[in-house]
Amino acid sequence: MEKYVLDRLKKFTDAAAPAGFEHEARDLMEKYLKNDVDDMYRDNLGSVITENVGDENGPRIMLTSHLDEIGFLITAIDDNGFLKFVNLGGWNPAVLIMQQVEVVTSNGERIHGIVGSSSKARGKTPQIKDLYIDLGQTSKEQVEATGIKVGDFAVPYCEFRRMGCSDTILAKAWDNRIGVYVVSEVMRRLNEVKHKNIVFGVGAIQEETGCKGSKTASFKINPDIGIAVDVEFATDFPGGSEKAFSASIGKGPAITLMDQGTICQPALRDFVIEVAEKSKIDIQINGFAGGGTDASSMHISRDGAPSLTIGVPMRYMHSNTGLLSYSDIEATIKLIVNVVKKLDRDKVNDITFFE
Amino acid sequence: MNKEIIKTLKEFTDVAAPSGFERNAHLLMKDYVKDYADEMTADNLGSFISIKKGNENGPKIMIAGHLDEIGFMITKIDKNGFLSFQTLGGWWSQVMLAQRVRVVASNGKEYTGVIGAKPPHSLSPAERKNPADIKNMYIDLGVENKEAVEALGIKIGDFAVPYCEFAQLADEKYLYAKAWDNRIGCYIAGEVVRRLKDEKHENIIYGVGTVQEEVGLRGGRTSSFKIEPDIGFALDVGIAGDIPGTANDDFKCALGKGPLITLFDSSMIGHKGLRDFVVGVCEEMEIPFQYAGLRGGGTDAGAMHVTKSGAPSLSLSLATRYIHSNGGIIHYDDIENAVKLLVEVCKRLDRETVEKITFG
Repeated sequence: MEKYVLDRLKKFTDAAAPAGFEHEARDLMEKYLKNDVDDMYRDNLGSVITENVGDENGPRIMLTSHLDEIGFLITAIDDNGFLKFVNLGGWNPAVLIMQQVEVVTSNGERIHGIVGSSSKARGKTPQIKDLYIDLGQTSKEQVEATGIKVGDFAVPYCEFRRMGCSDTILAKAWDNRIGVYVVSEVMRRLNEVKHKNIVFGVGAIQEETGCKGSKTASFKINPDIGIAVDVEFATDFPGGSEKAFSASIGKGPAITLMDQGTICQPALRDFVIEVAEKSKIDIQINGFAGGGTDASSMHISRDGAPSLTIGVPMRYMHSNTGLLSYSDIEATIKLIVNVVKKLDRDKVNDITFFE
Repeated sequence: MNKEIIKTLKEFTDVAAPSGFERNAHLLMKDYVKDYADEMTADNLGSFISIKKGNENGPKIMIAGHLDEIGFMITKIDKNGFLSFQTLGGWWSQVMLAQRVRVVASNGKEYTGVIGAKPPHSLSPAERKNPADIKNMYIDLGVENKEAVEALGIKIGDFAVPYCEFAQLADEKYLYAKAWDNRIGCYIAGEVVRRLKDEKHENIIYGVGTVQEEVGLRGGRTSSFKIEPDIGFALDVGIAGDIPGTANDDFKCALGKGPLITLFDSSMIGHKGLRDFVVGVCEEMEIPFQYAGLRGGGTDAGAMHVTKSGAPSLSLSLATRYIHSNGGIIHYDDIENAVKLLVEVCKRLDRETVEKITFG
C-alpha cells in the first residue's frame, strides 16, 4: 500500500461535503486534476466535468462519480442547545444513534457532536425526527457563539485508518469519494494511453438526493457510453444477503447487472466482462442491487446511452464507517482504463445497435 | 377474421423479450414494417423507430407500443441448480407460484422452468394465510446441480419469460396469450404504418416500439427525445372491467366494445383537445370506443407529453383481462377497431389540425 495513495484517500474522504454542499470535495477534485486534463468546467449546478481527448471525433465516454456524501442539514437549535436536523440522502436512523458527527459552520469550522435519540419508548424504531445532535453546549447562546446557524450542514465523523494488518481501510464517505479518486486517477493515466474517444471525468453533485448532478452533466456532455463509478454492496459479513449474490471486499471490482434505476444493456456488460477477462482482472458480477446510481441518469439522457455501474465493494453502506480493500481500488482503475482503450466508434455502435 | 393477423399476433406475443432484453421483439417489429416504412432507426437504448413520410413538412405523429413484456432476470444459481431471480416489471406474487416459464440462455437456447411452490400439505397456517414473498421464489430447471445449469450455458444475467400457448378461446374472437402488454401496442403501431402505405397523410408517422416501459417508461423518454413529436399516442393494454369482482371499478371497460380512450392515468392527464379530436373521428367513422381511467398505472404517453417543450398526447388502449400474468385475454374486434381508428386519425392530422389541438 503506497503512503501517498493513503494520504490522498484520507484527504478525499475527510472532506465535509454532503448533498447540496459539495464545495470542499469539488475544490479537491479540481485542484487534483487541473494540470492533468485537457479541459475542466462545470455544469450549472456545480458538477465538475473534465476532458481527456484521444480523438476529437471519437465516441463520448462519460465516467461519473459523485462528489456528495450523505449527511445532515441543521433545521433548528433548541433552547438547550441541541440541534434538530434532517437527512441529506438515505440514512437508516438506527445506525446514527450514539455516532459522532461534525457540524460545519459557514466559515468552515468544524464543531464536534454526537447523535442522540429522544425516543421515549425503548424498542421503537427511531425516526430522524426523534434524533438530535448534542454539541456538549448547554444553551442556545453558547451554540450560536460557535457560529452554527440553521441551514448549516453536518457530516459523519470517522477516523481514516488501516484495519489491523490487512489492506482493508476504514473511512467515512467512501460513497463516493472512492469514485472521485478512481475517476481522477483514470483521467491522469489516460495521458499515458492512446485511445480513440473523448473521455469525460465527472464529479457530479447531489447523487444521494436523486442523481441530480448526473442528469444535468449528462445533458451537457451528451455521452455515447456512461460508466458510473461508485461503491458496490459487499455482503461478506454475518447476516449479509444470502438470497442474491453480492460482492466481497478484496475480490475485485463489481459490476451490477440491474438496480432500481438501470438495467444494464447486455451488450455493454458482455463487453466489460470480456475486457476484464482479457486483462486478467478478477471482477464480481452482482445480479441485482437495491438503490440506484448515476447510471440511471446517464442511460436515459437525451436519446439514451448504454450505461453501467462499476463499483468498489464496500461493507456497511450508508453508515459512518465503510470498509473497503486497497487492492480493489487499483483493480478498478485498471479495468476502467482498459475499457476506455478498447472502446472506439465501431465498438460503441456494436454495443448500442442490434444490426 | 383474418388468419394472417392471428398468425402475426401469435408471433408478436410468443417472442421472449422482457424489459432490458428487447432485441428479439425489436427485430420482429422491424421485419413486420420493413417493406412499408420509408426509414427505420433506433434510439440508443434499443427502441425501434419506423418512419412513414406522408408529407415531410407535416407535423410529427408518434404512435408507440412498448417492446418489453414483464419477466425475470436470473440473479443467482444455487448449488442444487435452483435459480433465484429479480422481477423485471411489476409482478403480483399471487400469480407466480407453480407457473411454467421459459428460461433463455445468452446463446438463445430456451429451457423450461417452473416457479417452485409448496404443496398445501407442507404449508404452515401462517403461510396459508399470506401471499408468498417473491424474494423466496426460485425457478426449478429440472437438473441435478449448479454444474448442470452451467453446462446448459445459463448464467447470472440471463432472463426468463412466462410460458403460454397462444389460443383462440371458445368464442374465436377472444384471444389468449402472454405479453398482450405490450406486443398488441407494437402490432397496432406496425399495422398502422403498413395500412398507410398508399394513403395520403399530411404528416410524418413514427411507428415505435419502445424499450423498458415496464421499469419506468425509459425507452419512452429516449425515443421521444429523438423524435420530438408534435402529437403522441401510446398504444397499450387497458384494464378490463367485464369480469367478476370489478363492480367497484371507476370504469368498466368491456372486451369487444371498442378501444379505450384514457382520460387519465398515473403518468398523465390525456390531452383534452386531442381526446376530443379522436372522439370526433370515432363518431364520424362509427368506430365504437370506451372511456377509461386508471390510478394505478401509466404508459409511454406519460414520457411523451413532457418531452422537450411538450406534445399533446393520449393513451389509447385495448381492454385486456389478466394483464401482468402468464396469460391475458383480448378481443379481435377491438384490435381491428383500434387500427382503423388510428389510420383515420393519422390521415387527418395535418399541420392546421395539430396547431388547433395544441394551441386552440
